[in-house]
Amino acid sequence: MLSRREFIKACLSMAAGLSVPALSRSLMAEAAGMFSHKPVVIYLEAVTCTGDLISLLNARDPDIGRFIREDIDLRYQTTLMVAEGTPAVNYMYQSAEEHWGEYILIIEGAIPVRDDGIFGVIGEAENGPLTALRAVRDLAPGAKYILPFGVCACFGGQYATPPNPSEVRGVWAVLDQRDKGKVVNVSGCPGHPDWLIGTLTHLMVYGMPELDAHRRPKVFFGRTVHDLCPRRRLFEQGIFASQPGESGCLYKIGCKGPVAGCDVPLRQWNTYYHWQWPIGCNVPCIACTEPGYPTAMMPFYQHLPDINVFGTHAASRTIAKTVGLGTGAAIAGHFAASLITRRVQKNYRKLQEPLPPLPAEPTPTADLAFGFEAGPDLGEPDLVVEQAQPPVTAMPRKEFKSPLARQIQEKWKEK
Amino acid sequence: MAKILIGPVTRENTPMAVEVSLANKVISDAKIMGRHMRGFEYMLAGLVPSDAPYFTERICGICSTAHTYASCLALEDATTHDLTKNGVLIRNIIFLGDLLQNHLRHFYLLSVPDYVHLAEEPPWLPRYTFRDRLPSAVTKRITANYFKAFEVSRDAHTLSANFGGRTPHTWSIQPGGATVQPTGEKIMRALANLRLVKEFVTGAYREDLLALVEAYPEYSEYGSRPHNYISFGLVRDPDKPSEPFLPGGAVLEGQKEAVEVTAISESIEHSWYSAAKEVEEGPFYHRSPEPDRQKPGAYSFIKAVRYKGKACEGGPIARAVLHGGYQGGNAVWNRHLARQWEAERAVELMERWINQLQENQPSYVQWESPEAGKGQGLFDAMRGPLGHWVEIAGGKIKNYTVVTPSVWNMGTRVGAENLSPLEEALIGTPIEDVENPVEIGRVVRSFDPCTACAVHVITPTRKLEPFRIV
Ligand code: SF4
Ligand code: SF4
Repeated sequence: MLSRREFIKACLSMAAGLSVPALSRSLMAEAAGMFSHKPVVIYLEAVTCTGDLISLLNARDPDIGRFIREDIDLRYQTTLMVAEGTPAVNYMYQSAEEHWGEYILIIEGAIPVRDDGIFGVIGEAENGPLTALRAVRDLAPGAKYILPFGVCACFGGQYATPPNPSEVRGVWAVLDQRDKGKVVNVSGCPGHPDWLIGTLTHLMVYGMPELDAHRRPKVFFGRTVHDLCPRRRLFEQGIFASQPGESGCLYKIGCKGPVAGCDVPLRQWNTYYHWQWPIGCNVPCIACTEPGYPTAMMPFYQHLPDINVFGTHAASRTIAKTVGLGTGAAIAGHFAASLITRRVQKNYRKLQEPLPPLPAEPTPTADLAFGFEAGPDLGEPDLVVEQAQPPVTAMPRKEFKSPLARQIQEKWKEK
Repeated sequence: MAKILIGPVTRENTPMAVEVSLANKVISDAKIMGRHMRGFEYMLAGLVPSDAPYFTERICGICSTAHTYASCLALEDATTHDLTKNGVLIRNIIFLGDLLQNHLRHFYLLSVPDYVHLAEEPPWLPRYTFRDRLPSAVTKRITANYFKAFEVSRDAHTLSANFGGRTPHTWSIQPGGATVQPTGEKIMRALANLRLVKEFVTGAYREDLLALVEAYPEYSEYGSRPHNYISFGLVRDPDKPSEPFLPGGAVLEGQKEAVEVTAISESIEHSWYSAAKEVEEGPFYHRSPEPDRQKPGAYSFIKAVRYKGKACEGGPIARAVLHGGYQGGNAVWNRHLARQWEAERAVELMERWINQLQENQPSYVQWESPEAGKGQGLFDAMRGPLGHWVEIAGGKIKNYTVVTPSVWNMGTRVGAENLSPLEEALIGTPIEDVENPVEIGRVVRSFDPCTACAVHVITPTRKLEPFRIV
């Protein structure tokens, strides 16, 4: 069987021809001897658009139908299950009781807490309407692991946008203290099927994966889009798109790649073709994996006011720390101070209970030529992934017209 | 009088509840209840207009491209804006790929389990006790196709993603067109996906549906309702982007007519809201009413929408009546057959359109948000008419209203008699065994219901009591 290290390495690298679901399935099959039965999964839909489930249905190689039939024991999932009404709710509770302490609870969608959660009624229990809040609190103590799937379930996300009329929260925020330790956030809007299946496999076969400050598995969320972006070279050269649809770096029209912890540039969506992600479609990344999304990331198309292109690392790291955006070290400077402080401080703090404190700041290994720091330490020293783009000292330089690009050029000259 | 309450009605996008009353084992009254809320329109007020397409697509994960498309139409309507042919073609292809995905998943993953004993383990168990009337060889075939449908519907979604960059919640549909270039690689991949989907849609999907129609003949009658339909028109004409490719229209008691937006009215009489004005007329540039959970006689967060006072049904069957020369009934199987018919038409259109893409022509023209203006985007989503109305003031969104297909199909009643289409369709359906009321779900699911989009417009103002149904 693959060692944990090899599995992580495979997930990190997305080597050609490798699919996380395929890898996961063969691993789970190999590990089947370790369990007396298939892992029991209860998948709750709280207040959701069902986008995460639809995204999961798009998993490939193999398809999710086979995964559901052969690899897990799916007891409750309202979009797929055959039972309906109170019998279905009863079956969910009965399954939880039978497998108390060992089932995996996946939750999609945010949890309304206003007036005891009555704004999110998800079914009819024997004793009255079942709210999402009650279902989560009933099922959490018996779960072995809790996987909020999608940014709404992780951090409130889309439906926590002010004025947040039903007062929705992420799952972590509504759990009892003793259950919080079981949470592994699989974020994204929607979540990527590989992230869920890969995390599930890690939990089943190797136990708890290494988590980042927002309790997301580092293997999928530990590096930023900016770190892995194929347009990073253009960024460094100051070749920017001036409108959506252009093939330059999209930083100036609002790309949030520098604060988005997410490995989609390697993984892509749907079929893993190289254009199946926002930047491949020439629109900015909106950082849908981050707490505070979407409020902190809007306007999606607004260029983040750039005050001082380089030399703002310290400042941006402080900002990241203050508002809980990004993993600090991952921010390659210059994220808009004004955007974050103005919008986020007003709205973000209201939205989100802070997650556990961010870890101590890693010592930056600065790439002196460009002032960028290496990706965050993933904990397994031999796994540090190659920088997506090598330094581009040999690239030709030209005179730029845009003020931002000129600033960058000035900096170069200074060095 | 006996009552049956089913909550959640599973196998639909975001569970709702349905309560039926029985008289002599026949449904005499039905209420569709949307019981959770998000409040999208209030969140949208104050945002920058260009954020609206990404924001509104998160209303629904199974028809996200319909919302982005409608939102872009509303924004483009607020200014004068030209689109390129490539831009319209790409948007249409993205939407139709999503439509195919929806129709395939709706039939196999959501509807088939109502009629066929698929597998003897969860999540296909537990289930109601009912007799699977198909010969065992056919049951076996449909079961295999059920699992195949996971793959094929995914390929249909991939077809969209070839141009949209991702499904659900696509990237490249933007006000101004589509931000991807139709390169040869994308076109070839899309055609390859389309071939797989076509084979399945014209083969297995049709055969399996016909097998069910034959085995369960009573559903060619159950679920019928008056012949009132509405459509806002399917996708846009690549040569005339301001017009729908298949024009919209209304059918009132069999008579076709063009849709006048001013004849659409939205009522909150039986919904948990209160406002000075219980009925608003289109176009909908106004703020939503305040919710009132204690309101006597109300039973759902979903409002009621009527055309010239009549409950009109949207979706594939409405489009088949308007464009396919269809004149038959509208029972459960008719709705399913119309959906399958539409899937085949969608494949034909896609074949034509993918081949019309021009590799080196632009597909996007930058769109500038106006300082002030109003725009409406009328569009047919997979399951019926969808309207987005935006009012912009000071460069920000002032009001944003969304009237979704589910409000048309499964809203509340107006007065005591004027029921919503789904409520009308349920009435008269006999229930053979009240312990296993499998008939209710079969009728409900023929509509392809989706509450994700139906219950998005609420701002609670007062403390609510947890409620119960007797
Ligand atoms: S995270 Fe995105 S896809 Fe998931 S429920 Fe929220 S809006 Fe829908
Ligand atoms: S700013 Fe965005 S587009 Fe530019 S390099 Fe970073 S992630 Fe890529």
